[in-house]
Amino acid sequence: MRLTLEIWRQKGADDAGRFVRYEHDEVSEHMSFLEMLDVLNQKLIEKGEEPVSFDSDCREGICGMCGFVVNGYPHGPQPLTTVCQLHMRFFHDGDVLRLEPFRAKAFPIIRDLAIDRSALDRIIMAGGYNSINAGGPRDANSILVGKKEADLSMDAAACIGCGACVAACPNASASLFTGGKISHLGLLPQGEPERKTRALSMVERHNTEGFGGCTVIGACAEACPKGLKLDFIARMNKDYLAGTVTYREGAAGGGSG
Amino acid sequence: MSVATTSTAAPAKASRLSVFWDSQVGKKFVSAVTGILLFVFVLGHVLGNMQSFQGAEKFNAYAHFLQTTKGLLWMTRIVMLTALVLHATAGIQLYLKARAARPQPYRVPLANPATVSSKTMIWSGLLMLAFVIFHLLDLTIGAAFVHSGFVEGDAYVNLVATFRSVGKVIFYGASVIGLGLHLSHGLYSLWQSLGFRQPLWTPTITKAALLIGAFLALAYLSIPGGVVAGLIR
Repeated sequence: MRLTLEIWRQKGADDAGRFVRYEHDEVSEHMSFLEMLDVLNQKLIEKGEEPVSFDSDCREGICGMCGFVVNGYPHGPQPLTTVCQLHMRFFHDGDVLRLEPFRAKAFPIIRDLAIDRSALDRIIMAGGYNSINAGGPRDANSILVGKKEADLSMDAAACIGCGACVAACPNASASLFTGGKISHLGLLPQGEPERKTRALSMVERHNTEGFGGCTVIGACAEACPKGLKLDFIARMNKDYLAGTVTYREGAAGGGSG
Repeated sequence: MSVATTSTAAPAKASRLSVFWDSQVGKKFVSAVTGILLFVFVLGHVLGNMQSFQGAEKFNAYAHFLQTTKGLLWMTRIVMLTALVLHATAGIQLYLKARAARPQPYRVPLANPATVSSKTMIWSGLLMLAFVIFHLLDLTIGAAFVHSGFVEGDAYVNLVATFRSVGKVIFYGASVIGLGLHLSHGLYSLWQSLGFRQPLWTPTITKAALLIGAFLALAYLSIPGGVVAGLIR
């Protein structure tokens, strides 16, 4: 297969950046998208040119490290697929593919297609965990969880934090990510005690990181490689509202008598 | 055994209300609640004013009733003005925040499924805001530079005069089509902003919002339509 690639090349945050055209004639339909770029990079290195930087880690669609925009689609046009699991058999000989980094103020470009997604980590640090004493191992069924709640929680937990929702959103909002994290913890009994304060903290952090707000467009859910639904954003909103209404400072004595 | 636990502490700020308003989730909530109030008003407004099809006497009696029922009049004015200010402020601030969230635009436009109505909320909203100011000057206040020959107390004559002006009909028509578009997204998305969205109701809500938006736009268009067709004269 022959492909024409127009790849966004940018030396760093201060560089203006531009598309550079590459003719790639060594593409096999069995390659993943990232393997196709590896071959291109090998050729660039042999020619003494700078290879294209892109994010990549597990290459099996579960780590959330990779991601860029292919012809206007975050992770490419194949639904429910990260770009590392996107195979070249979905493209045709002679296709022109334009590759751009995920664009958002909160995701500074490091180089070419590689971006800094630490803002998502800081949202997790603001409350995406349960503050529990681990103690000794518990009997597996000592806390009962309904099947529906467990399934829904797992659907939310499928989020790999790749940032495609932010990339797809016209407002560059990370609401689907934040809503997913708030839902997957809040739906389970272990996450229930901190459900409302968690929503307050994570939403606050989401805003200070410079993401936009949700206007219920639905582009995030279309782009999400793990199929998270807009309903998780509603759950975030609900928990945030409940947190606002019921918020109080910690009890003074803490039961010390 | 000493065990240190860190609680997910909410940000310590004096006023939860200001934190709420500062957050985008809070602004969307305010936007949804005020949007419902404004929707109830535009629905009542068009249904009431369709009495213009029943002739001058009936319509002017209705207008007189509204003008002289001071409690209802001023309560509506205060609630609507407050709702409008909050709704517009939240909408404009959210729009600016969203713009700032992506300073570098995509060079290849995103292939996203956004509906026309969802993408144009700010523009349909600003159009309606401009129209509301004009509409009040034209038919409530009767400012001479907008409506020459305004007859105080004869709402019917004023209405007919307004809809005989081509320019005013075009502005009105564009604004109520904007209203229809605005509602077809607003009546759908507000359920999510309030936290009620769930799979069972989403398809119904999506269709209902579209139908109600289209119905209201057509209902509003029927009044200048009636003037043009000679049913209201």
